[in-house]
Amino acid sequence: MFLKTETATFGLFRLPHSCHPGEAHLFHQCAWARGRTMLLWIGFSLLTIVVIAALARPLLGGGKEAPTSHSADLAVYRDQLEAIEAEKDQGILGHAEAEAARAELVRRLLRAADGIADQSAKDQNPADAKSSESPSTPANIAVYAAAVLIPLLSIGVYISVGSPDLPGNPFAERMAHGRPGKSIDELIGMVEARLKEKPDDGKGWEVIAPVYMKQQRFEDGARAYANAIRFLGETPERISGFAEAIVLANNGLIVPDARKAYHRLLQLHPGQPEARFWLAVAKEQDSDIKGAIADLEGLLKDAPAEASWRPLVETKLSELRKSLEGGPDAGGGAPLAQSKPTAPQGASDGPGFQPSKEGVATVLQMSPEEQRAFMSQRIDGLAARLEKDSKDLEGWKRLVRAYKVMGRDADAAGAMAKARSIFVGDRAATEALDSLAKDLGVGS
Amino acid sequence: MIIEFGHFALILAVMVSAFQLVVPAYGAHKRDARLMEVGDRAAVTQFFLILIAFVALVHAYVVSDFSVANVVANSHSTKPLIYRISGVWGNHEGSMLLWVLIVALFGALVALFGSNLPATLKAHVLSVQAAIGLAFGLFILFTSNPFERLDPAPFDGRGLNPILQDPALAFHPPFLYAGYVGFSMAFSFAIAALIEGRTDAAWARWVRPWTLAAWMCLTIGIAMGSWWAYYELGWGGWWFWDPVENASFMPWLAGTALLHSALVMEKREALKVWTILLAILTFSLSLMGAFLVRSGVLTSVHAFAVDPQRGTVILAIMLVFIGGALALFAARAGELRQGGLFAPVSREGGLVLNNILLTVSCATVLVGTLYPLALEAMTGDKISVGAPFFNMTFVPLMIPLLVALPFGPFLAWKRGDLYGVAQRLTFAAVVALIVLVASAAWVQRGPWLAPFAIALGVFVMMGSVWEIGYRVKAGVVPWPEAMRRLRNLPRSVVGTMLAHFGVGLAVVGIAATSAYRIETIVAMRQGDHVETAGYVLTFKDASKARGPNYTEDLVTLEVTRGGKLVTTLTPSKRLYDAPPMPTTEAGILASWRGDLYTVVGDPQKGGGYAFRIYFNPLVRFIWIGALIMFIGGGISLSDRRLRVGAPVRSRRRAGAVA
Amino acid sequence: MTRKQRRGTIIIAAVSVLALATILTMFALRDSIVFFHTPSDVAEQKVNVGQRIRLGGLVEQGSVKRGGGTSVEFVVTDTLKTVAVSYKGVLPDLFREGQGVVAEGVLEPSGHLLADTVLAKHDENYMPPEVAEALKAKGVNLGKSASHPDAQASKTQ
Repeated sequence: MFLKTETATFGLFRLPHSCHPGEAHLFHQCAWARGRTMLLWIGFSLLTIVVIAALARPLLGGGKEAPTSHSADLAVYRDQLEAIEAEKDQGILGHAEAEAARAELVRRLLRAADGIADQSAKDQNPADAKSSESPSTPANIAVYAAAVLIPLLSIGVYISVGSPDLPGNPFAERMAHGRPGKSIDELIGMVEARLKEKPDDGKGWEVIAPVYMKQQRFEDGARAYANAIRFLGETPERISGFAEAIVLANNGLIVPDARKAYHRLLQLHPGQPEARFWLAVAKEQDSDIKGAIADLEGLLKDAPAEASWRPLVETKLSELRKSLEGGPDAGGGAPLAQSKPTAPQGASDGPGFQPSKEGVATVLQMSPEEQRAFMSQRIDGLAARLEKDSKDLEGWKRLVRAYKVMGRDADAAGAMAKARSIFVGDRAATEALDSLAKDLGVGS
Repeated sequence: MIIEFGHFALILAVMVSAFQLVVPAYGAHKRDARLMEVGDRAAVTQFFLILIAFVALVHAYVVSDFSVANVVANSHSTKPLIYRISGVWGNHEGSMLLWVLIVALFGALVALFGSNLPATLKAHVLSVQAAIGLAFGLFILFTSNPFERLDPAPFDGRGLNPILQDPALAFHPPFLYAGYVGFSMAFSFAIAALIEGRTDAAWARWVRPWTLAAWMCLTIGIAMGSWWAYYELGWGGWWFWDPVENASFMPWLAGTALLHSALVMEKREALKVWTILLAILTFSLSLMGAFLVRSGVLTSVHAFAVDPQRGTVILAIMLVFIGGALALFAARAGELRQGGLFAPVSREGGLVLNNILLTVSCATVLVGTLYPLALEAMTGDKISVGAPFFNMTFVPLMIPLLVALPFGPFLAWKRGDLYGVAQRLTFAAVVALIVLVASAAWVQRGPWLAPFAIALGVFVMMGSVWEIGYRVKAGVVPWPEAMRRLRNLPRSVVGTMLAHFGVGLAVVGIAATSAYRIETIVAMRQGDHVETAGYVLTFKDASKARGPNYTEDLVTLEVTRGGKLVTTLTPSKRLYDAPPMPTTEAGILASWRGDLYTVVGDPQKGGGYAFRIYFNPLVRFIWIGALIMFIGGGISLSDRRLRVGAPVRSRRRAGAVA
Repeated sequence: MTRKQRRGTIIIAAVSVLALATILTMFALRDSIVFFHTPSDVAEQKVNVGQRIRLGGLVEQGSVKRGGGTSVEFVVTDTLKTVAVSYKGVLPDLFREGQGVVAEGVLEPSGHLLADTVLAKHDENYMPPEVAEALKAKGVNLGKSASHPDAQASKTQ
């Protein structure tokens, strides 16, 4: 029932599974895999040959006489006659009834017998006789069809839908000997197995929680965050992770536990924008549009001018206002009603990570997790572009700021250092970078 | 690797079914025995290929091969073995594979055991059967492929919906599908008959065992589903008129009618056109059931999670088969020869009445199932059609059917003597009357109709017993002679009587449990007790327990009756690990007089739990009745006469006619 | 009896049974079907007092109050309007605040619903389709599993 989802999810992880020429150390495995694939195809060939042989045999041999329809009928009617006799003997059928039934059956019998006479007359007519000794033309065609079309079509279809080079992967075998190159799922499995034995290992929960989130296993994620909080204590990251997880696990509804978590986050970190934003959305879900607007306005007022999330809040706000004006019944007043667009792919083609106008709307529809993922994608795209076109000062500034906003301080410092080295000698640029570094507190 | 082998086998099977569709039909057209014989080979080959595919998938489930997407989505490494296996058909893709496996199985059985059939008829039957297999095979390969792989493999599966982890449900779908798909045989025979332009008594005899086998499987399949819903869902009911239940019930009603009309056709060569039409309609209803369950048109406990694209494909398959069959029927029905004559009061007349009532009641179920869909499509209003609708429409139609039922087998063919039959049924009627008075006097509550319904059930049961008595002349001839006669009774007669007896028993159970069920909702703390239906239930203890893949809150209830300890019941609330989902496990005390059914509800403020306690009188009769119907069908199927016609058979009296 | 007469008898029997069934069906469709409504429908007075309805929506956060014994009260919302529901009995396993629910019962003059049946969404992926659709129409985002598990596929990393 999750098939679609699975494919979509794991499709992204799908790696070229067979042999890369460069991966010399995997060569042994490759040879083994090739042998296995070969074996599989041999198996397919054998199976196909057996099938074709089974189908073609009667066509190649001489035809044998099948009972004609009328002799089969005769058998049935004779048997029915017997049954009537038996019932009459038992006294279940009265004499008159039995006689009537018998008369009827005899009529059927005679009709069937006539049929046989007709049939044999027909069969004596050479034009109709088909049971000659040499294989007739239709039989030949059928043999060719079986021998050629069945294997060709089968292999064609199989190549388009099958996965011949994928080995089977039984659970027990996998547990017994872990192979090199573990997939993310296997790694998760190992951590899970350890946690099963040592459920109070807070560090383990902490490690696995974001991985679950990435795998869209939100309920597991929520549990992992909750356990991390239980064993390691509260931190804003853990609480916000937990809140995010249960919101996602509940179809985007800000459920009571999430509210509690965001409130707690605000206690620890007064003014924390993420918590404020989602609590405002919670109000909206409670139909308290006005309250939601007021909260978001407050959030905007406190927001630093260059805060990356400003546009999100502004767009949300304007939509809320519109919905308030339009009244509850206006379809347009439903901020979250539009179908959730998929996150844009191919982020590297964007001009920078600053979301476009549609981008904002898109991002607004996303959960924080998705937003973050979306942002990272954008940032990575920007970084990749700057690798090629390194003279874009504005780009570098945006990149540093973005890293900082995302909490990737080391990357921010790295990007800053790189930018400095590129613009060495350009005074204006260096000055601009210096002031940015001061503003953000990035590696001076 | 095994899984890929299975995948390839499935593809080969689809190709073979295409071959089987074309070659035998062409052979029949050309009267070429060799080409027709290919049909037998192809049918058997196709079955073994699908069996390989199916076994490969089962293997993947058993070893938890999570490189198979279907296993990931529906299994989990911690699941007990039996549910790993039943998980194969607990989901859309796997159950479709089971579906085509059964289609192929029936085809192969005809090929292997149909040596008594005329070659052209058999060739046509196998062709039509192959067409069904081909359509669903392609459907599986291209929209619902259970052999889809994942790379890299996820570490563990998502688990099977825990309410499906149940022994009754493990075997309910295979029976149900065997029933649905078994009617495809009747369909194939009907199409073959229309193509050949010949329908006669012999045809009816050939088609009857297949119909009977399908009907048996469907009967027991529906009963298992109902039993599962009864004890697993924790709602205390056994039938909910849920659209998906109806989807299986409609083919059953039509199939029951078909079984009876084929009898008329076999014995008297009457009702030919009707029987052919009914064969087509029965399988059409099976297809419609598949469509409703899998298209997402309906949502229900039993429905699969679905995808609209699949629904469209199934709809197309359904329309092609039903439309094609009905078009062929319209073109050919006029050519069928008229059959034997009979008076309105006769065995045939009784069976016609049976057919009218069964098909019309089937139509009311159809209306009740489709009306909400139609209304929503036209006006956008959403409605639910529940038990009240069916109680008002279906139930009244069943009453004349049950009243008439005991008369039927006593009536003579062609022209019956109603008065004579009524005399023979006096004893049954008297017993029923006594039951009526006794039950009315004894319970003194519930709807006034209930004692009548119970008496009606008893009438049907007694009528069946009495017919056997009449046939063996019990009481008329000496005892050993009667026993000898009993042994000599044709098995089909015994089977019929058993099946009718089962109907009566089920009716008694249905009437009693619907009218006299006692429902108590109560909050209890530890030490509290409650009294219901003569039992005293005491809340002894609440504890937590850990099962193989769930944790549960277990409540212990001590049940006493007249001061004596009867048993302790342990209803529980479970929380499964994967997927994490709460379920309710009912604690049931089963006895002949009825089931004490306890469900634990929410924890209460200040300790204790809410409880729902039902007493369902005679509820077991329903499933025992169905089981007896199943057994009756089996005995009837084992009758030598249904297998008859093999030309090799030695016959005592062959010379008498030929 | 001639062939014609025989056929006539069968046809008369069939037609009379069919007529009976049709009449029963018409009555049943008039009297024993239940319409599905959302709280907004109730607020717009589309529903008459005393009418039996199925009310669908989400259980409002924090609205569940358990009374003495097994009686319980909660509020069903489609996020625009709300209807109070009272129910005596055992709630289904999956009944939770913030989750989809269908309550069947009779609308009281006070505008609250006296329910005798409460259905919760049946599993993690199932929400009564009427509820999902009605809520979507009212502009509530239900996220991944609103009515269709595959909706989840539209999420990306």
